[in-house]
Amino acid sequence: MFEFKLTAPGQGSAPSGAEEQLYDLIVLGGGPAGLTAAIYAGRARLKTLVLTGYLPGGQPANTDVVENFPAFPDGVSGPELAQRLQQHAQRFGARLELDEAVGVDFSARPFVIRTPKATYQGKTVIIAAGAVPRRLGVSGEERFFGRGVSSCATCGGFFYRDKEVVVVGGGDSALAEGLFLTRFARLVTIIHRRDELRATKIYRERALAHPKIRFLLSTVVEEILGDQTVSGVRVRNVKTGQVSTIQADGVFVYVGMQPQTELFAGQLALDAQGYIISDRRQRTSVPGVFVAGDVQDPLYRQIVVAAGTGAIAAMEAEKFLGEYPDVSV
Amino acid sequence: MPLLSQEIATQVREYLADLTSPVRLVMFTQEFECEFCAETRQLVEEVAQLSDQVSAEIYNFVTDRQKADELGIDKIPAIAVLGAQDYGVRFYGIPAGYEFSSLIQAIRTVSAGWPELLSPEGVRRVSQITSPVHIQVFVTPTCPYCPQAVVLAHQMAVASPMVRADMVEATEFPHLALKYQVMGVPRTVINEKIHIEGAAPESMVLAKLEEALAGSKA
Amino acid sequence: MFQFSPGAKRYEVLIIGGGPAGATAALYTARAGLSTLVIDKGLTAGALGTTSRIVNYPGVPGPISGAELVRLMRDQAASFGAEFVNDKALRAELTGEEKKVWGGQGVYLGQAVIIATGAMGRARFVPGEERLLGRGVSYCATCDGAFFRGRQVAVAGNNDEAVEEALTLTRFASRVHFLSPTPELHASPHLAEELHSHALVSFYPAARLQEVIGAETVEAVRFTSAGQEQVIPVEGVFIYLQGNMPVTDFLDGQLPTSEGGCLLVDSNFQTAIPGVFAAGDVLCKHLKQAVIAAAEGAQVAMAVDRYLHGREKLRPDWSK
Repeated sequence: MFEFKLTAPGQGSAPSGAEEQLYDLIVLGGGPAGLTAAIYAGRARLKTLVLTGYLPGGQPANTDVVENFPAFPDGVSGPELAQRLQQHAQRFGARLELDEAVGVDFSARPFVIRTPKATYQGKTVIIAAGAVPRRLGVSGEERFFGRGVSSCATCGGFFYRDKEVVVVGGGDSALAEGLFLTRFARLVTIIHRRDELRATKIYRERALAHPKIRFLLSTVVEEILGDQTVSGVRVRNVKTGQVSTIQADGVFVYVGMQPQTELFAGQLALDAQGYIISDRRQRTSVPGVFVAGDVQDPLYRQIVVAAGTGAIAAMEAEKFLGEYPDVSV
Repeated sequence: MPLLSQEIATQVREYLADLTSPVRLVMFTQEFECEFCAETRQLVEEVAQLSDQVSAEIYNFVTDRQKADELGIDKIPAIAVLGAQDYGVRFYGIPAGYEFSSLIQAIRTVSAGWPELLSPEGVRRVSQITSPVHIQVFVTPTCPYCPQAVVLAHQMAVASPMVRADMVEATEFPHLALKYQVMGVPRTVINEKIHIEGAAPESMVLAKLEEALAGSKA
Repeated sequence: MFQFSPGAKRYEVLIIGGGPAGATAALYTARAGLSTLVIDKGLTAGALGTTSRIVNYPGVPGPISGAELVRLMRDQAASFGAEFVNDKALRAELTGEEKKVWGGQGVYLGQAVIIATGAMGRARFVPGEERLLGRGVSYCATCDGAFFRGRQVAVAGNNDEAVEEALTLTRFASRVHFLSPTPELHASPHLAEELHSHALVSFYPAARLQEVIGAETVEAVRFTSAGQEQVIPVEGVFIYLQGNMPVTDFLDGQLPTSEGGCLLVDSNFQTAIPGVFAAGDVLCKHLKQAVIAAAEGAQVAMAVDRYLHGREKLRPDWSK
């Protein structure tokens, strides 16, 4: 499995002097968006700190094989991609810390970031804290996640040619991805806990009419079954109480995403769903605070798209520092 | 030793599989003083093997002079592509390299008797032509842009009995290249006087065609 | 000796341009099961392809050449079934259900088109160039080289295409004067080496082509090299220069552009014509970085996928 090694500058205990705790840029999040931001910032010789969180690597670290990150024609394992991004950022001088912000103050200049270990100051901040798929919270889900259980049909659908898969959820995403999976899978079973679908009409009509899709409504998944790989799901009909087993080689969970933004509420403008609001230049409502990746993107949620926003955010942060060199003092 | 590779022969066979009307490739040759006559003849015969609807007829440019005059053939090697009627589709010089595609396309279009690649507007305007138009498209076999000009000219020939269109391989007819000042291909010459450089879009060729006709009336 | 490209082949997605935006879009559409064709002029035709040393593409610390990075992206798209054709889009008919794109080698049909042609077009002709086109000015040595047997010619450019064409011309011309706009070539090392060591080639570094001179046909070229103006008598001029204009000439004004000639798109990367999308440098809206163009490629591909499957636009999903 994934192994994390700190090999670059910044290895060892956190420095103590206040001066050394002041950074040109502090990146919150160690996924593709945050690390690409760190690559660009390091390359621009900004003194950069990345707080990766305790499970660095972001979403891809949970993914078995990443096939759609451009320039990796043979595919790359999620953990390997995560490690490559970390090493790339470190090569350009970014300091990576296995640490997580527990408090931020964007009213102060420089900005203040507190972690359980230290307090850091940043002239600029890029938030790349990501979003996590909501989980079902059932037995077997954790064990098979990334190996048969997934939250991304566009990432893994290709592997299920002529196989049977289960999609959990009843919204647009669930149906859209279920329809997507019909291009590969022999049979797609969409399981939804309510007796009607929330998805918009066009998806409902298409999915209901599709010969490869069947629905199990008023049904909840209680367990994901399997030995080495996923073999099926145990479900229960909430009306009749009847329990049965559905055979499946893959389970796709679409019960919504959760942007990791609780920490910023009240300091940055968030939309109704908790995503950080930003403009095309990745600027937030606070000048000097930028945002990248899934924490601001309910639409695409792709590694390369996250990386692209990371690059933009870093270049904008650099520009900001050029325009306001004295922001810190 | 066949000229066409197995792979290309297979592709052509597939591409010509749905022809519904016969096409005659009438080829003119002679034994001497003709650099690529032998190869052109072989090519025509090989292509004829690839479809039941396509046949090859070989004539001697000197001894079958009457036949040549009938089809307006004035240089060799020459191929007239004939279908239900003579649409005026000609190839002078070997249609090798990129021009091979033009030959196969001409066979399809002549078989159909309909300029399928011309826009409806183009068909309308070309079919309204009332005086003779002669389009010569100068090419080289190594020119990837040339087939577009050749195919367009042949489409116009099929669209109107007044239009005839020749592919002319410039390196085989240096005196014509000189006469028409060909220093770059494709170069399209309409009724001896209007020139178009490059692979022009249909709308531009139509405009030039109409310009040539307006000029001849004045 | 015989090349055959069967008439019109139909695809669900046609992508014009195979740089980071186009290649990534192809990766995504092909992987989504859409039949995809990329029409492209070669590995070193675009901005990334001419960059010699990339160190900031995430996950590829390099240094890696731009051409190599593009090749990796294309190989990946090809591994999912995307097809590539080496051709130049000459014109396009984009209205209607079926979109048509004409290249030098034939016509290509698609249900959706992604324009990712980049921004290395030339803004203007040099004096004399347009007037003497076909009278000694050419853009295709393989087409026209034979007309310059035993004559002197000039080639202006610095990429793989220019060098390859110059080498083609050495088979015909008595001398090839190679005018490189940059001090060094931006071409593959083996090609540069072959050009520099060729007995029939004279190399002029940092040469700016100023004028093509000639009454009826080309008689000479005027250029400055190392600050010195020179006039060399030639009968042919082959031009492969690049600029920094969005490449939209083949569209013949069918799509609205900004004042700078950049294509305009909505938030789903769709142009004013339904089914016609654009991404990358041709939009001139982003910072010119491979990863940012690639990101747009992924986004436009997802929008195309939704377009072809009858979904109007991407929508966020808040459902629990």
